[in-house]
Amino acid sequence: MATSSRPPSLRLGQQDLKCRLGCGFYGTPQCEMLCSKCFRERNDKQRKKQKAGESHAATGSGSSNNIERRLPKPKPLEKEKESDQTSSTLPLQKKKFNVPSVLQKTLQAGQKIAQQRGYVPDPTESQFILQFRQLRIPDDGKRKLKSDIQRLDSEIRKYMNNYSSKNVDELSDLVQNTYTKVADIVHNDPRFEIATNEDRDSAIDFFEKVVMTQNHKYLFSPYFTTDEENDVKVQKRIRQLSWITAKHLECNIDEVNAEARDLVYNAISELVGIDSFYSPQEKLQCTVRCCRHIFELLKRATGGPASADDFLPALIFVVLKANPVRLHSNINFVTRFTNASRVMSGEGGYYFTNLCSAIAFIENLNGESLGITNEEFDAFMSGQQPYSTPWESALLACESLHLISENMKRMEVLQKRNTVISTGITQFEKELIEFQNEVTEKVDTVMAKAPLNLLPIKTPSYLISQARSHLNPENAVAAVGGHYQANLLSNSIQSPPTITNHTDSSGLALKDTSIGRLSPLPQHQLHQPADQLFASPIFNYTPFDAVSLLEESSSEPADVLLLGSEFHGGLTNINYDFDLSDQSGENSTADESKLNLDEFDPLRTAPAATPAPVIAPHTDTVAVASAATASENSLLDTTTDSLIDSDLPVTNNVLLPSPLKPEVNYRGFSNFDIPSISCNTGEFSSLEPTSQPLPGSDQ
Amino acid sequence: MNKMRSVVNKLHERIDYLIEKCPNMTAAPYNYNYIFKYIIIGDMGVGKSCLLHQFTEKKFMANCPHTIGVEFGTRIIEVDDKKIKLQIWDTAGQERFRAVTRSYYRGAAGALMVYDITRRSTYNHLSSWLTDTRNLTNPSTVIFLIGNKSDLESTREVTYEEAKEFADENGLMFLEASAMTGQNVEEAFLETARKIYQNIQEGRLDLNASESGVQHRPSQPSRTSLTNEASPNRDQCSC
Repeated sequence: MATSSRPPSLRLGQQDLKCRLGCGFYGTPQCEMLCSKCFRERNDKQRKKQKAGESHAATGSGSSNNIERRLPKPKPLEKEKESDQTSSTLPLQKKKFNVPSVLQKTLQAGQKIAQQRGYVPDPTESQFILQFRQLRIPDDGKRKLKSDIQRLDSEIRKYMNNYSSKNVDELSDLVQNTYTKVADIVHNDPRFEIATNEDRDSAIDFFEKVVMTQNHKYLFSPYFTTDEENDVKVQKRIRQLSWITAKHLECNIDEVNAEARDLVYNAISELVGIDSFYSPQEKLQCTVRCCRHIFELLKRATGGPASADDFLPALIFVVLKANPVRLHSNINFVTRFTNASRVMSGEGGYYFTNLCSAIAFIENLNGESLGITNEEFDAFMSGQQPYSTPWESALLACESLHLISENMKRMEVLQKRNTVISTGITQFEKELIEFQNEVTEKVDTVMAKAPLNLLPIKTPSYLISQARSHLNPENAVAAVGGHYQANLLSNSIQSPPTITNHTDSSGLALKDTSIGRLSPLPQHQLHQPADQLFASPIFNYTPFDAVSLLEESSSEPADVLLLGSEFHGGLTNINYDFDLSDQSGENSTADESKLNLDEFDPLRTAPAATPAPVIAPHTDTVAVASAATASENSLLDTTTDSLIDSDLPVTNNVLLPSPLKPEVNYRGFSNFDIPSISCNTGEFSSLEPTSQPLPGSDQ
Repeated sequence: MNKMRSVVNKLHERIDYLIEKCPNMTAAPYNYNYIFKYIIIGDMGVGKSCLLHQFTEKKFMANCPHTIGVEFGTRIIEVDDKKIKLQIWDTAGQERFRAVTRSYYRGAAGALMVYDITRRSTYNHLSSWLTDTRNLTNPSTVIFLIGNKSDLESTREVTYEEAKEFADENGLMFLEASAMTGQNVEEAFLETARKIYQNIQEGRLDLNASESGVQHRPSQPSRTSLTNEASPNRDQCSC
């Protein structure tokens, strides 16, 4: 991504990291871009040169090694003495402290006084004692370890008390050499034979931890180094760089997202905590935890495992935001005084190296490395250009600014969603219109293909059924109905006007058709079967209905058969019984009918009276209507009279067996329900031929 | 016991004096006798970082960014002709960082507890800060109460008398200061140092305790500093 020519860039080339001497290993800025081995060798050479120049050749790093070799012998003795002097409950740590003093011959006098003063055991010290007891190594090994700890302790103090010029690298070498020796002893000494590898490692770790914690105040940021000045410089620089956002660093940290911010804070907390620990191990562990948080953060941000390319910018961002206290001192303390193998390998080593490079980047960064011009960079750095980062705002007490930036982001998201929705709506609208058009088109085509024809058949069936339902409830009237139909059939004269009106009203037309069905019967069959028909309806209403509803007019023969077959049963019963009963109760309508009948024919008067009373109760209006029709009938009748009159005897003879006929006439008129009207009309078509034959026969 | 310690300390001072006079010693880069560790605590926005900045740089830092975690500053002062290096840890006031900042309490010789005289809530939280401090530092730690922003008299919400009473009840030292004008800032830091030094002189502060927050003469083993070692030191010194 970045070219190696760019001085401090986020991505370094391989060559930038290699040791300057070209040994193939990686170098670090702390070692002046040398690898640690080359750096040490070079330093040794330089020091030797220096020492050669100095008159006292005996002192220096060489002597410290001599001391190391010399020391172990007198020490155990001293220690025994000491333990005799002090109470057995004295903490181990105290001994550690004391031993070096004992070794320094100059301080022996003060020793006793120090011991006599009640010593409050330090929490860290008692913890170490506990840990020491828990170490699972043989007692011999423990003793050896203890003496080594004490020896190194004393050496460090001796070095620090030495008033000659000091070099922290010498000190570092001293410690590192001891580490190597201890490791050698722990792994190869017969006293540690029984211990497992883990136990040995933990023994070495313990050694390092104790020595470093105890000597933290000497070794950490020693006064003869420039560590502290550097700390303050870096701190100031990072403070100046507080305007840097994740965007500048091209890293995948969402500063506004609360969840991401929490993870960043976790990482920051770890980084800030580095300084609060005393031993290099613990500091390294902090670094590792911090980096793990960053990886977790990146994992969530990118939705997959984070790459090292993403990691370094994120780490830089975290370091910038955390502004860890005494950064340089801590880094140097770890590089100098931790077991070299820890920094050289493993997770801790990797993260630590990254942290070092992050700091190097921060120290050297300029506008170019952030993707802004140097003028801008300077303006930011000098504080001339105001800035507001989401990160800064997130830290405000009221967090209102942060709220705003969060809201802004939310608004953006909402706006996006809104546009998505509105486009969706317009699309949906279009689709709807299209759909509508399509449907109407289809409907139109279908309509064009199949135009709506009002078939006269459909409604009549419905109306008929209605009519039937009217009639059905009155059982007594059933007989009347039968009469009535018969009446209709007989009244061929009435029909003509209605027959012509087929199209006028559906109701009429339908009735016509339904009647048309009925009519065929009389047509096909001669008068006698027709008689049967007249009588039958009383009982056959229901079956008749079903047939009329289900079947079209086309299925006439079936109808005929059905009707015919069922009629037989009911015929005889009804006719006579009802006629008689009806006659007993007479009404005004009956009178009217009588009048008509009187005019018509004297013979028919008696039976004619019967239908009227039954019908009258139905409705008054019907009665009136019937009266009107009756008058019509009378007129019609009169026309036919002439014909009938002459043939009267003949017709009577023929019809005599069934007294229905005359009765039917009257009822028909009086029964003037809606259906009944239609029936009248319909019957005529069918009846005409029947009525004609009469005169015809007469003729 | 205390008396003896004070005697020892006085002796020690004399040794120090002699050592300083010793020409052989001048090569050493250290120029202070003690290191005192301070922490500054208090609610967010009371001006802790500005106090520190005013003290170390003698400037008021406008638009001070929020402290995350901990910041660090040093300055060498003089008390009783003794050079004392103050290492000051300026902690973040946010609750979020309490866990981290708590780890910096240990080993503090002085704690500056700051509130904002214009915001009563920061004053009300003092008791919780005090509890924290008492729990996490050693008993000899000097706690100094600072009412910051004394320049903003017009918006004052906490009276001097009230805070003074609180300080007296809890055995705290107290001053009202202004990081902006610099009024009383120096005094607060120096008074704390004086008190610590006095504690050392009177033997109330054990320099040997690893968490005492005081380092004496980093060039010398601290263990020896309190002991009766006059003659050996003189021996060591070639003058």
